[in-house]
Amino acid sequence: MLFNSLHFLLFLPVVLGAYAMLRHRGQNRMLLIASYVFYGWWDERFLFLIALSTVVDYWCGLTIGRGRLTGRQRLVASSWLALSALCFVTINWSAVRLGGPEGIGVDWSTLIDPLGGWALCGALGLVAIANLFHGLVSRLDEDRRRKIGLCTSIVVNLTVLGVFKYFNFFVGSAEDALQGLGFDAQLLRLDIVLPVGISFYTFQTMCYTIDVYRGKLPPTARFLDFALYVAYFPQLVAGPIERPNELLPRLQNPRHFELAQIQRGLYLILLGLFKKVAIADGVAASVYSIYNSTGTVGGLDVAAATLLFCVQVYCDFSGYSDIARGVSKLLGIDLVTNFRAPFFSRSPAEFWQRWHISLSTWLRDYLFMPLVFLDPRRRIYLALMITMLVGGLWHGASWNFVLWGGFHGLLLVVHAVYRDRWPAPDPRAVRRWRVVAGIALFFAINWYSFLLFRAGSFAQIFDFTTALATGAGGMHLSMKLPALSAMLGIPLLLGLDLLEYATGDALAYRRVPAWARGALYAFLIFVIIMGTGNEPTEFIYFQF
Amino acid sequence: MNLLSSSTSNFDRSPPSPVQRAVVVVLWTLLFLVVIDVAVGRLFAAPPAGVEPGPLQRRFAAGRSVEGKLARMVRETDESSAPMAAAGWYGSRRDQPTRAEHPGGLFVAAYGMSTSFRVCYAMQELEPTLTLRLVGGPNAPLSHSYDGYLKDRTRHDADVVLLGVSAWALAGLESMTQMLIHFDAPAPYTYPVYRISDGELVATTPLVQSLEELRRAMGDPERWEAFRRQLAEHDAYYDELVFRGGPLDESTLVRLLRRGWGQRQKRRQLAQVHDANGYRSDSTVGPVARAIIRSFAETVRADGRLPIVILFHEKGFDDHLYTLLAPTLREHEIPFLSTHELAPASDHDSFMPDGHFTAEVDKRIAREVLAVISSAH
Repeated sequence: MLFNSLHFLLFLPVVLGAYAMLRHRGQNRMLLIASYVFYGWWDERFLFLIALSTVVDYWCGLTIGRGRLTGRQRLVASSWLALSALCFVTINWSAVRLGGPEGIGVDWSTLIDPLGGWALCGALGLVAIANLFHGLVSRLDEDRRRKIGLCTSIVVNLTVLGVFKYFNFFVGSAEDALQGLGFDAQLLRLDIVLPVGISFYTFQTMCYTIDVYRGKLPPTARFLDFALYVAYFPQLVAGPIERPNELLPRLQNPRHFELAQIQRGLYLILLGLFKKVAIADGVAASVYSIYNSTGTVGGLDVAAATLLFCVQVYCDFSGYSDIARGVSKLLGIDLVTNFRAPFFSRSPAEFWQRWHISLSTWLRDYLFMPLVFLDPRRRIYLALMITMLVGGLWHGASWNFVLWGGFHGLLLVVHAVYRDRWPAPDPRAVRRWRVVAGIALFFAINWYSFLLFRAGSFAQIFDFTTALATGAGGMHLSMKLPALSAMLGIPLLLGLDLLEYATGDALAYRRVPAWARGALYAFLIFVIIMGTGNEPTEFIYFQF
Repeated sequence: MNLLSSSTSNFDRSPPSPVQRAVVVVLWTLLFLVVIDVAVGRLFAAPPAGVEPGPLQRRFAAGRSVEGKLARMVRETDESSAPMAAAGWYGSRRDQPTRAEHPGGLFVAAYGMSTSFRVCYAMQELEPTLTLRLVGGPNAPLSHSYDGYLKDRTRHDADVVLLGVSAWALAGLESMTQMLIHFDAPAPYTYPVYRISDGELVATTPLVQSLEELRRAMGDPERWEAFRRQLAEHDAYYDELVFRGGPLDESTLVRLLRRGWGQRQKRRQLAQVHDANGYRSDSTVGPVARAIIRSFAETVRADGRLPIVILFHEKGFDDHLYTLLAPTLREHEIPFLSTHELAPASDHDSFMPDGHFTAEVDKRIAREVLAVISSAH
């Protein structure tokens, strides 16, 4: 279900209404059902993967933290996985037709999906093995038991991610490499659909078991609380990636509501819709007209389309994060800030403290720090590079994302070397023109990195870079013009980001008089309404 | 007693509560929305009749209801009506030749839309002795071109009959008028909806078939209601919210919302016909288009003329029309040309900002059409 769809417009009030009428435990159960409905709206089969991830990490967390699960905990987790396999992948719901003269019609010949049957067998096998070995594992010494729990979680999560996201990519790359060496290779490819947001919830569940292993938090005993932590719908498909020590307590404890929180939530939803509907969707066709053209493209077109892509991807992704945070605030649950005026960064290090903060901090804590830990001096640059390459690959199963990650890794290494020699001056002593120049310079470098991010192939990267460097293809602008909503929205967004950057406060807009806030909200609503005529595009980060 | 202090305390007000502050902001927001609505409506008001609206005026009027737009476009006479109101009706292009104007020269009757006519003009540039008879309408779907051809076939003695099929407009086979499928900037002309019944093409003819009839229907509530009901029944793009007018047409925000809604409904309907992989096999558009092409070729040949079909692939359509229709064209040995090989739909250099092919591409296609004619002759 998309945040900017009519379905969500109906879904949210129903959820909020039910939420307001229930007590804490009932709220959590209802939120879990709502989250499964929200995610299953795309394809109910995806829910099995969520259930698998939930059960495995719940089991592993308790194995690591407490050494064993109670019989009831095992029963609930086992039933959840088996029922999920039965309901979400074994039964083919399209064989059930509602309405018509018979009321409910069932096409019995297609009701059971054969592949789903195998998934059900697999799930039952997994449940049997887990229960069979549970006693054995719980009797192991603590260190081995904890390692087994952690390894199981990491292996299962990365296997799921690898199969669904990267298998065809690596097979395709291997084929290309073999063909390059003169072999006629035709390797097995899987006919699979990439589940929406798989990278987000895989990272989120993995960090739970890692944190339990590190002793940063106790394992969650209540299965439904943990299932809600994994599937919590506002941030499920495109983040922010929440840390268990932040989100779990908020889910486990009763929520308190304040008017300010509701106001802030509504503003964030408004701002997110403004970014997505008015701006991101408003420039999407312009970017598409250049990046999806097979003809000769001139330097000016590449420059303009890449600039607009920076705007598109920022508005698309931060817009989603804003709506996610806003919806969650209406539920009384705070989510982390994911963007803080990133295009006002003066260095790559600052950029990653402002852009997709939940991912960059995840990579820092769970990849970069362990890599650096053993030998900080020698490993820091290598660790930076590896972290950014993995970060690039996280974005998508394509070499251009790896290149993008490598480019940012290189920028971070160069910046780190530079800062080793010339430490940063006191920010208060830096003159304003140097700040502006720094922002402009880094934006120009970063702008090129978005060409790597958006390009469809290495050939396009080469052609577009050549066009930029030499002006080949002419300097006329043939790109489709952005929609009016985007042309009106971009200056306003720039102003809002500038206000946040200058004051260092995301709530700075609330300090203005009531009439000015009214004018701001009215203009945002006006531009959003104007943007409803733009062709909606799926959120870019859903594919990650 | 300190009078001053006492007096001040009488006028002391406690600071507004959070709820009061929120209400004040909401009221300001509503007030500014009204201001924006009125101000934009005034600033970009529709120009007087006969004056071409600017892009922003057109943009803010795009969400006016179909009835509202028609009321502005269609006036008492053809002359006082907007030029777009007269476009596309059969017979709206006057002074069309009925026989070859140059002795020994080729006479081509073409049915289609502006894209195909631009190619015809390019053919004439390359072959000055060519005589052209052009029947069509803006963004005309195949059903309109075919209907125009049927109405026109006995009124000329052209050697070649050219049918232009637009990939983009093919979805219009499910519509009866451009008023609905292109409600943003509608041309009100109408055309039949075809379906296949027992293997035969069956047409549902619109109740309104000329600008004059439209004018009369608009002045007669009963006739108008009958026409509206027919559209609701037979036009897949009919939507009550988009069609019905009313006082809310005067609100800028309502117009913008209606445009968004209309675009959404249109996209949903188009998605039933075409997706990124091509025309959907479960849509009726493919079978109807193939049946029209077959019928067109049979009647043209029965009249002793040469049928030619041009498949125009606009941006975003790759070779989809070719994939859909080429097997039928080959099976029935109908000479045809597909633009996807001459000007790939993914090459933005092939197109002008308004979506038409560039003059250079038009000429390239024209050259090929002339070659096809000469080899078929």
